[in-house]
This record gives sequence, structure tokens and C-alpha cells, in this order.
Amino acid sequence: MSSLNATQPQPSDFAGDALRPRLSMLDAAAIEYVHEQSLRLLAEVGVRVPLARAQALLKDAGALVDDETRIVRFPDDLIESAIARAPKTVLLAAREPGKDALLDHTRSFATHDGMGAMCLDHRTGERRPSTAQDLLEAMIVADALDEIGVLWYTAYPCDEDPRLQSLRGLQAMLAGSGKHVEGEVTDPADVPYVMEMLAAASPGGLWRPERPIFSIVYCPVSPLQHDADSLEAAILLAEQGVPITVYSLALAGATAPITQAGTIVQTNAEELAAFAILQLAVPGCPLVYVGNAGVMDMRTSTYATAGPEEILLNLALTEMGRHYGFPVLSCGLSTDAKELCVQAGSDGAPMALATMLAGADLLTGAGMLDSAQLLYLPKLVLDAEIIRQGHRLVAGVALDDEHVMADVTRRIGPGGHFLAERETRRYLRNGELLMPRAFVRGSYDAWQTEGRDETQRAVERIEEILASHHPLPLPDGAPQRIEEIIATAASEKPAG
Amino acid sequence: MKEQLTQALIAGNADLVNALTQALLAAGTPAREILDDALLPGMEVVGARMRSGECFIPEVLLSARTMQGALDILKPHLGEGEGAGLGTVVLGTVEGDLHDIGKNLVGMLLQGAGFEVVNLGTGVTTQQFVEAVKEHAPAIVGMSALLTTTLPHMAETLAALKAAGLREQVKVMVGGAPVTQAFADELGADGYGANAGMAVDRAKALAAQAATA
Repeated sequence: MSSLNATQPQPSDFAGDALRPRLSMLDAAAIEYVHEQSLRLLAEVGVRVPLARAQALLKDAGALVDDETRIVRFPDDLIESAIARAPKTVLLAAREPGKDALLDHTRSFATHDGMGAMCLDHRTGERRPSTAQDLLEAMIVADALDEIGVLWYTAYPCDEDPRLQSLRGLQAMLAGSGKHVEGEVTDPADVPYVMEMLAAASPGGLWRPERPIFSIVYCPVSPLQHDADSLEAAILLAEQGVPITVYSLALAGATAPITQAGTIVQTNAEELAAFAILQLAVPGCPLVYVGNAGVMDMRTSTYATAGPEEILLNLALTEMGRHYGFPVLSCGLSTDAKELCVQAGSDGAPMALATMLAGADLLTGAGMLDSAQLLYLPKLVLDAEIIRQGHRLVAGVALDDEHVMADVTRRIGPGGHFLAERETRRYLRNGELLMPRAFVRGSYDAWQTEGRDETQRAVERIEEILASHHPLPLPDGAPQRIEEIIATAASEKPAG
Repeated sequence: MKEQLTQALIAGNADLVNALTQALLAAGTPAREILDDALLPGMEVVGARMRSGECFIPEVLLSARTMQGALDILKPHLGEGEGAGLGTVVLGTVEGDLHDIGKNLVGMLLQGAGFEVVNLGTGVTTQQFVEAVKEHAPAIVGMSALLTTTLPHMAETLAALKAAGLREQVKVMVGGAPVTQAFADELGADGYGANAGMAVDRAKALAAQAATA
């Protein structure tokens, strides 16, 4: 016994910690290199900004503006001051208490994929243009799924008057969920109606910029340009306190260099240029950096939404956004597959996990097939399961004396079991082991007896949610008021 | 030398293609023959390889660009209005839309396949499409869009072509991520391609129809 005591290890200095796995690719020198290369691109090549108002602001701030080509070259300090000025945490507030998404780098909030114009109808199996009803159902289902934290304008209401699509989309989103909704407004003429609708939907009938229940996705157009109308709409909304996700989606090999390095630098530059424009227009406005770029499929010329290169692009860009301290949205779960199949899972899950492990605040990509073109609600339910796995993975390992459970092991001793212990129950209930909801475990026979495949179970879950889940209702009178606002827009906006 | 020219075009070797084209002309080979016997067959091979997956978009575009260089050399030696022979295509991305990578890709592939291409660029209004059809008398007019909100401009352009009495003399093609065959059919368009390669195949079929009509 004395020899045993003699070899006992000294107490370690480790005081216990919650260990969270992280995925990182860029070291400090690499980050600095990407930053420098991005600044060079912005100073030497520049960005086309065809909006007079933005050009004037940029000129005043020291940028070189070519009045003919409308290309703006950015001095380094203009970019650096925008980086300093942009808020480092952004609140995406919810109508429903307790459902806020505070983007503060502590967790990943998942959202829909988007934005598509087609729906694979889970009731008929038909692929057809998406409708306002599809969008509403996508909101209600996501409202019921704990794993989805923020709702996206996932599919366009193609059955509506094109002039009113943005407003009809917003109407469906507000009605379908009490969570934060992120939409798209590309027509500056829509802004007053959007703000009236948001006020009507807000608690107390008043839009509160300090608690924005709505944000937008704004897309610079790669390579290195902006659309005047979309940019103006974004600025007008930023003035009202609407947070903006700046989504520059370059396609490697087509609208960006084919190399990962070239696409990383160009995307980062495009993000920074948009940040600079928006921070000049509305100092301190809340913005979300997007760490995502795509690839063009070189056989078919279509947008490829998943694959190893996209994971690498997402990782590097997410790290760049985090380096600046910005809230970051990145992508996962998306697939180029046309049906639920091995490819859909294999496209989606690794990218989602990588994005979460890289520390993105927002994870977009749930619920679509066909390169973010085809809404398929059963996939939303199955993606929620992948998101749960991701959250469990990111939660990591609590490594300390309590979690080692040495006292329990001592109590049970060799040959016993841990199943009936109170500690086992307690940690199980605290989420130590993930309990699948949509995925199958258990015996083959039990599965066979149940006789339902994955898609059938997902469809049943959707129908169950749609039948029984009631999103937080809008304030009294708000639905009517919103309908009136859209009717006014219909009468005031010029016919298409 | 013509076989060598065909191979150089397939390889996308612009310097060699230009040199061989010049040399063939200098040796007295008619421009039409260079086009028909060497260049167009080369692009046929490239197109077939793209369809079979052996050859990728950038390689096809390199060959197409090389083809364009050779055509520039041949042009003064071809008869008036005698291009590569498949006719003219007017292309544009509709009003309100800046996304044009797909349309440009189709344009380059069409050029490579032997069409004259008039690329109107982005944000093309209905009126600009109508004017271009009047001016260039194309066999085909092609419209692209990425944003669903701009899709209605395709219908407006079709209506405007009808109103101007031009609809019967031109085939209309549509494309872009949100466009489907069903949408094209509903619109009353003559052609649609789910990707750039399919658009070129469809354009060639439409041009052949027009030629035999």
C-alpha cells in the first residue's frame, strides 16, 4: 500500500473548466494578411456605388469617387473607422418575451435558408412557385421549433402582386411568428409601408429602434458593386434602427477568383466596403457581417451551395468577421440535392457544424433543397435535429471534479452500473446526452413495426405543428391595420 | 493545317489559333471554309465535351473567346452579313436586376457556338429590348433575371414586342435561377435553359427551326 501512495499524482493546478471545441484556421498573421489584401483591393480597385447620396458621403469622408464610372476607392482609415464604429453586439429582438436573439458571440442562432421562389409541396409532392401561404407555414413551423432562433424570408410569395411581394412577405412573417424576423426590402418606396407595418405589429403599436423586431438582408452584388435601389432602401431602414445583414455572396470562379484565397479577400473587402458606406450614412447602425461565399459548379454553371470549399470559405470568413468583433452570420445545412437523401445530409451537416464550431452568431440554411431555391418543410424539421446536434457539440465538455463523478464511481465500484443513480438522471435532464427527436435510434424491429420513414415522420410533425401551434398573436387590430397599409401601398405604388 | 486549327481552338490556345487562321488565309483558303471546316467543328467538340462532363465551363469559355478572336480576323474576308451563320441573339438582364453572370456566360457560349451576340447588359428596360430587336433583327432575344421581383418585366417585354408587331419575327428565350420551364411556358416564351449549356442547345434548335420555317 505504501508504494501505491508514493506514486499518487500531485493535485493538479487545473481548477475545472467548460471546454468548448473550436474550429480555427487563421492565425493572427493570416488574419492581418487577409485584412491588408482587402484594404489594397478597396483602395486600388474600388467598389461601384451608383447612389449619389452614398457617393457624396464617401467623397466627404476622403474616398476617391470617379463620377463617370461611379467607382469608389476607399482610403484605409475610412474602413478602419467603420470597423471601429460598427456595434460589436447586435440585438435581434422578438415580439415574444424570452425569444430575443442577442448576437454577442456566445451562441449560434439558426435560421431558414433563402431566398427561393419554389416550393416542394409536402402534401402533393408537386414542385411549384412558392406562395404567401408557404411562407406563412414556414414561419409557423419554425416558430414552434426551439432550434430555430431567428426567422428568414425563406421563399417569395410568388402568388402576390410583384409590387407588393416584399410587404406580403413581411405580413406573413409577422403573422407567423413571435420570433425575430429578417426580411428583404429592395425598393426604397416600400420603406414607409414597412415601417408602418412594423409599428402596427409592435407591442404598443410603436416601432422601438432599441428593440428591433425586424431586420433585413442587404446584398451587395459581386464582384465589388452595389445596386442603387437596394442600397437606398437599406440606408433608409438603417436610419430607423433596422439591423442589416450584409450578404455579399460571391461565387468562386465566376464572380470572384476561383481560389479560396481570392474569394476570401474579395468577400471580406465587399463586406467591409458595405460596412463603411452604411456606417457613414448612419453612424453606429447595427450590422451583421456575413462569412459565406459560394462556388460556381463548373459543369453546369449553377450556384453550388455546399461542399468542402464552401466550408473552408465559411471558416475563414467567419474568423475574419469575429476578428473585427462583428456579429457574424454564416451558412450550413444548405444543399444542392433535389430531395431528402444522403447528399442533402452530407452537404448540410458538416457545413453547419463547422460554422457553429467557428463561432458564427447566426447559422442560415435550414429547410431548403436545390441550392436554396426550393422550400421543403420536412427538411426544416430534420435540419432542426442537426442544429440540436451542433448546439450539443459546441456546448462541449464540462471538465471538473463534479462532472468527473469520481464519488459516484467510488460508490458503485467495479461491476456495478450507473443507470439508477440520481446523478445520472440529473445530468441526463440537464442535456449531457442529446435525445434525438427526429432521428432514429432503437431496434430495427421497432422501427419496422412503426412503419414510417424519415420524411413521413417529418411531414406528420409539420401537420401536427400547423394544427396545434399558435404563434404569439399580433396586437389587437394589427392584422387589419397591416391589411390597410398594404391596400394603401397597392393604390399608391405605380402599376408594374 | 485545318485539323491543327481545330485542335488549337479546342485547347483554347489563342495565339496559335490566330496564327493558323492568318496562315490559312494567306495560303488562299476561303474564310468560309476556315469557319465551316475548322472553327465550328472545334466548337462542336467543345460543346459535346461540356455536355458529357469532360470539359468545364472555364475551358469552354476560353475556347469561345479564342473563337471570337479568329472570327475578328475572318470578318473582313466574309461576305456582308455573313457571320458564323447561326444568326444574331440579343441578350439582356431585365430592369431592376444587376445579376448578370449567368447571362454573360450564355452570351459567350452562344458566340462560341457561332451566333452573333448583342449583349445589352443589365437593367435593360422593355423599351430597350424592343429597340434592340428593331435595330438588330435578331433570330432570338434572351432575357435573364435573378430576383423574383424583376421577373414580371419578362412578361412586359413580351407584351411590348407583340404591341410593336415584332413578336412573330423573333424567338424569345428566358433564363435565370428563379425561372423554370413552367414559368417560361406560362409566359409564352419559345425557349428556356436550366443552365448555360442547355440554353445554347435550345438556342441552336430555335435557330434551326427559324431557318427552316
